[in-house]
Amino acid sequence: MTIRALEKISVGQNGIGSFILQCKRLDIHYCDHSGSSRGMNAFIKTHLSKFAQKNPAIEFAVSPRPRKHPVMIGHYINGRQKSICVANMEPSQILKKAELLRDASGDKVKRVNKPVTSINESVRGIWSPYHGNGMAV
Amino acid sequence: MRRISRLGKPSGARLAPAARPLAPLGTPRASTRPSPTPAAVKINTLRFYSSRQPEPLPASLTSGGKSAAPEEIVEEVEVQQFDHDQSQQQRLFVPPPRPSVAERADTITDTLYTPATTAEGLESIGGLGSWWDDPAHWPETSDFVGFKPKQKVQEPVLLEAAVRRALTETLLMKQLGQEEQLTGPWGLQGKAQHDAVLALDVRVDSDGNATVTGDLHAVADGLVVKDGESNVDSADVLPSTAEALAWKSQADQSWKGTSLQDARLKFAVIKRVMQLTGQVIPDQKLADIATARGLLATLQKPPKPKTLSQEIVAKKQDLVTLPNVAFSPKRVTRGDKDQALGRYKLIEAEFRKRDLQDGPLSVPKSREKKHWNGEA
Amino acid sequence: MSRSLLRSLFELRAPSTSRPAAQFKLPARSLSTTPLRRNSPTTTESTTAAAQNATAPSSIPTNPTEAASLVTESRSQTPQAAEALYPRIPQQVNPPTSESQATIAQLLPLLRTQPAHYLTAHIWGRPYLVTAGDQIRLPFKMPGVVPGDVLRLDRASTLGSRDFTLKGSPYVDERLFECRATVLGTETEPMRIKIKTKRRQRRNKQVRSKHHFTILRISEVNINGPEAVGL
Repeated sequence: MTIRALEKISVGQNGIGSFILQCKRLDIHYCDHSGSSRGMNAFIKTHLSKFAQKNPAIEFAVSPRPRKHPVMIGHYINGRQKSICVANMEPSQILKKAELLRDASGDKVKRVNKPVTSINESVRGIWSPYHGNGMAV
Repeated sequence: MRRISRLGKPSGARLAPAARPLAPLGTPRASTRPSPTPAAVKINTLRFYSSRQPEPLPASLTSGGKSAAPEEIVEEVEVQQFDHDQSQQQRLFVPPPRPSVAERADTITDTLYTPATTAEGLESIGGLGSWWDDPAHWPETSDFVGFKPKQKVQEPVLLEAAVRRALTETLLMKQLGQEEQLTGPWGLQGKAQHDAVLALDVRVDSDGNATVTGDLHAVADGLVVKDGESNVDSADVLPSTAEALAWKSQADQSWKGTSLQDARLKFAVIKRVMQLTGQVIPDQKLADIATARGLLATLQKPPKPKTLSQEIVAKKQDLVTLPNVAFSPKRVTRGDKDQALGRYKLIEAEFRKRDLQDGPLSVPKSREKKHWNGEA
Repeated sequence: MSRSLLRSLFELRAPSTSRPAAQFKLPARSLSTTPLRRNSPTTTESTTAAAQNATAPSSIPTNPTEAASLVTESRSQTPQAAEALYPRIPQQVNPPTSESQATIAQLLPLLRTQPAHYLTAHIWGRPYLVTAGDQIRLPFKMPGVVPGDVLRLDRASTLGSRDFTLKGSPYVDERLFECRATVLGTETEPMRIKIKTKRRQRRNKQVRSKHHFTILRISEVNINGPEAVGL
């Protein structure tokens, strides 16, 4: 009989030992001239410094993108990215969108019906009709 | 082809060779007229010239000209050429030599002459080659010098000194009865004149009418433009910042109440300020200026930042100093991302290895930039 | 004693001590009625009676603020702000019967010795049966929390291991366990489009809805001994 290595490998679960924010980078694009960027420009001037101070784990990259609508792009640890066009939005609305990008995990959105997801084995085991005292019919 | 930007250099009737009558007609020189512009002020202008190596001249230009062509054809060519008056032309550009013209085949009397059947081995004639691209043919004196200096003065103290000087000069011209001079060109003199103007005393009454006392005639003589006036470096027209600060600390500030309701006075002051500092007051702000103080405030108001990044650098230092925020003043391109990652060097090296790209892998300069540099 | 219980006694694992217990000392209060029930086939008559006692109909409050008081150990907020948003609600406990005191003193140490534990934590009136490491997708977006915040869940209706279950009526005394959850973030789901039709009308209306859900990860489940309630 050959000796086989254990197939079980450790699975990373965020938040058990330490917590790592999934959003690692937020690209903020604006245009200097077009009117759809007015809210975004105001957001950069008024809200961004406080938001960046509160979220030191995120790298903020602000750069112009002339003649384009303003966009925020979140880059996540899993390699995916999520982008939101914030044309014609008020600064407070844009702040909400920035929080949405920060809170997101970066995974594809999917419908989940069960509230609890677990990779642990069942604590009380699986019920079997052939064990125990039996059932009186 | 030469671009229009290069032909824009000569300014005024005196300087325009194309506007002159054709050479054979021989009208009197226009240079005897008084100059509409003051003597050229030496200003640090940017000079754009072709970076191309000058090519050798065509044989028709180097062979020295007139000998080969019949007389009547030379006359005809001369009409089409620029005027060859060296005393005038030296300051503008160096015209190409007269081209030589080959003899026509039907006029050749030599019996040994046989017309060529191929172009090989024949000397080329005609064309100017890269004559206009040679910087040596465009002396520095040919650069266009405008009324307004190219470098704007932004320093508030210097602006205050300039407004005071312009106001005093305008007031004294008006006071001396030289009303027609208010709309004319004034000379740009150096620091001595500046100090002399600022030494004059300006008294303002309650209605805003100002009177200047002092040696008015000496200053007025310096203002009037004479032909052949010496060039003054624009850096010396206004004092240094330290000198202006010293002047301001002991100067009487009551001159700022001078009324500028008189349109001729206002025009003259604003024109002079523009000549001294390079600051132009836009039309929509002109109507709001009623006093010298208002004019000064308009000038001293810092210009609005053109871009968001400029504004943030100027006003929002707390945002720039945050360690997790990076600002880019320009659009971030694919190349920038590669450079940030260090991938750019590798791509360049791989291209070089395969002989695909010589030199840096960067975006080529725009075509317009080539034209600005005077290249074809 | 069952074979599995014996096995788990040998596989005894030290309880998680990632946080000092003294930090979360709660004010002394009267004991709750938290009878202990044994699930093993060797159930005695007395504990079965206790189990019936425990499963007697009890009114579980539906008001979220009563059903679960969250103690946020937040990174992002000051303790005062967290307290203002989620005020600490003391647990209403009934005095325990002498029988339940006896079963807790006797059987809770056995429950603790079995390694894997589960509990039914209640968050805003809803039960979630979780073990350490599980992820909960709450059916709402919890206001005032940011990713990385640690919540202490202090309402549980059951604590259990493989063979033992401690049932609360309605809740287990909060001094008997420590359960912490880390806020992972907010997720959403694909937009739902419900088409509303009316009979004999050609128009139909599309109703769109998209909700946001807070994601929690159970980072810690500790069960304290009977000495935590003075037994």
